[in-house]
Amino acid sequence: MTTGVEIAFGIYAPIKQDGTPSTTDNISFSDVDDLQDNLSNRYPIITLEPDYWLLDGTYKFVDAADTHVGFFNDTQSDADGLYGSPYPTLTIDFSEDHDLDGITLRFSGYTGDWCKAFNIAFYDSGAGLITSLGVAALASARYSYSGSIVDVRQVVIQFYETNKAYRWVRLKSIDYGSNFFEGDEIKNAKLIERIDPLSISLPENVLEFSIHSDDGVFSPVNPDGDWDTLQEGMPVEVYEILNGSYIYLGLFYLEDWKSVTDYETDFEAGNAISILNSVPFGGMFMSTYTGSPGNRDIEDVLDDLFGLTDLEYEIDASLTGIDLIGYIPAGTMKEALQLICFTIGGYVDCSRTNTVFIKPLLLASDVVTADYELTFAEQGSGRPLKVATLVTGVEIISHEFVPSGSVGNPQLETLIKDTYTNGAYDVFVDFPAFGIQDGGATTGTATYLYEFGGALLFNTGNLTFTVTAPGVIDTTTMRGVSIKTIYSEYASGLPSGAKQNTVKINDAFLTNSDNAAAMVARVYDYYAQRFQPQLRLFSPFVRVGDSVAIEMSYSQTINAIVEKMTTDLTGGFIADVEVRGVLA
Amino acid sequence: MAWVTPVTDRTLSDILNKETKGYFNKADWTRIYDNSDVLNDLIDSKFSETITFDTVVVPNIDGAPNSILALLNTTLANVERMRVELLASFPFVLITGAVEVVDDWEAGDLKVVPDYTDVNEWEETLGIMYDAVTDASLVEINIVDESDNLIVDESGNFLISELWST
Repeated sequence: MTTGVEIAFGIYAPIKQDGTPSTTDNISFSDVDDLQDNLSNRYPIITLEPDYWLLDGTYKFVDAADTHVGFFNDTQSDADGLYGSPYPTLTIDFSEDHDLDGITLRFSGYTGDWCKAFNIAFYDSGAGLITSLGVAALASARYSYSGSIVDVRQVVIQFYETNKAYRWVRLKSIDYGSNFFEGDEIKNAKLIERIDPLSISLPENVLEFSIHSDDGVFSPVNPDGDWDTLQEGMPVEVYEILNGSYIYLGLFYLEDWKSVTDYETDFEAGNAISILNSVPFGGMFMSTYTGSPGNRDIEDVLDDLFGLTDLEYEIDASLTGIDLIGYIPAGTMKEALQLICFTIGGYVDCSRTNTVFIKPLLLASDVVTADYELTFAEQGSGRPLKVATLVTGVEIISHEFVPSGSVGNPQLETLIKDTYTNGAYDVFVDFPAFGIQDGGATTGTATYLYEFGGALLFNTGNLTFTVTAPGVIDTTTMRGVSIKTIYSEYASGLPSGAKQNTVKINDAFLTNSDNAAAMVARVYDYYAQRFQPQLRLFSPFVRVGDSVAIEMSYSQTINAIVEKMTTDLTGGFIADVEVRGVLA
Repeated sequence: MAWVTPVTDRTLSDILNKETKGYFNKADWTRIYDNSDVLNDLIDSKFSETITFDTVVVPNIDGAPNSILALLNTTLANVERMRVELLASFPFVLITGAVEVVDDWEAGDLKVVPDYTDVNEWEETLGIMYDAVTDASLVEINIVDESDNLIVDESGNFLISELWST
């Protein structure tokens, strides 16, 4: 097995996210959205094309529900590898014009199958042909064109010929550029992937790598170099090259870089979580208190949140339909998302994709059949087994917000009181606020714009108002105050004198009488998973979030969930894996 | 149809060098299926034992990939049923070396799939069963006494199972 890594710089990822692929020529289980979402499977699927299914144990049977093959057409090429007319065609439509630095197509390098002849046509918004690239004899599974193509609104790819007889088209990925580094150009690269299944935190994945360029492409003093093009937040995409096949490892955003020599530059990039950590969030307040507009559906809240960024999210179906009540304090979007995930029993996983996935907490004790079985031989030598400190209890404080003051005698608090000329203004509200009302001294006229859905009176954050008649604007609100209740669970049957170790969570502001008990049980059950064997795996199948059954001494097995992987991308894909689990 | 000599000598070298023998092609599947059919008929004609044999149309090279799993499992189930039946009902048919043929392979990235050693075993098992059934013959013997461990014919000779096939 040969492995390698490819790192792609530039602005390709947002273009890819804007490009919607479509075709009428794909086979039933092929979904061309895979090309946009980078979801093509790591391993090839089993077919009966001549001399295709190599009996090495890595080809997989099609799982109609979970097979991601990219573009896989429905008619084979003939004995000469030729397709008849009408040719298999893939179209990518953009919602706006894009200037491309080139284009890269990746076919099935793993199996040694690609399209030898094809045509890529680029169209503008008026359906006018900008240019077309005719390829007659591609000699490998990757095609890259590095020319500039401007104002592209649509790309149409027609496939004419495969490199082998009787083959379907297997297009695994498309990138709208060609600025890649691989092989000796990458001196070292390390990928750290993490999840917190409980969402007590929201850890980010990190990519660290060093680029060597004989041309000094990233030298700060090279007038022809690209140093000046580097910018914080620049997308970086990473692929694992496994036996010639390109496997998507994820989308990252440049955070830091430094020139080591004229020819070598170190980079550090974070994943979507690092973006979320840089996006301010004004806060949100949802209440079912009498007269309040009520709770909000989780997806409505997430739509509002992600509307603040260009990021895409997907939430597991089991977590939809949940109503949120309470207060999300002002802070960052990362903090808001972490609080929401903790509340609903979900966690964020951005590994191996360009999408933010919100998945349900899976406890090792609930695993019936693990995703992977890890024998002694697969675990690497040493295998230290850490046992986490016993947690003897969990206490979570719920917060039910009510207006300050007493019934019939609300305590009003001044929000705005000043003289204004006509114009738009913002006032920052960093507490849960029960609506607004005139404070009595108003002489001007103002209209108010509430974030996140206009009609919702109980959001906090930036309250924007527009003065249409100058004068004094006197606006008050009722501050929401929290009625706190402690929900708890404690271990029973502990030996006398056992040291108490209670986890206390005070700032779960979306906790209330409806969800607190389940929340406490989740936290308690999570910490009851105390076994943390350390593993070292070679080019592993597993990903963070997967369940594993680990062979242990004394004929024991530990079922566990993978929480962290640190993978040496240039050293044979050796991964140090951290898990948390229980004896099966 | 006639019995076709099974291919049982696939090696790791065939895989690493991507020799034709390292691939599972329609011809391999057809041979396994047809040989299973021949063996099933042979058991039926020789022992008057009808073992369920499910018909499979081996897919063409452009057969739908999502239909392959079910058809292959059906093919392998035919082989496994014959192996189980021979062991249970015809102990004098010596099929030593015939191994269990897994017939419940599953779809998905996380699932184990057959490799060249499995395919060798499928064909070896078929070959062993075919040879054993071909060599076996039934001799009519009047058994006058049968206990837990002894079978005695009317002349007072002790019979053991191996004798039944000679």
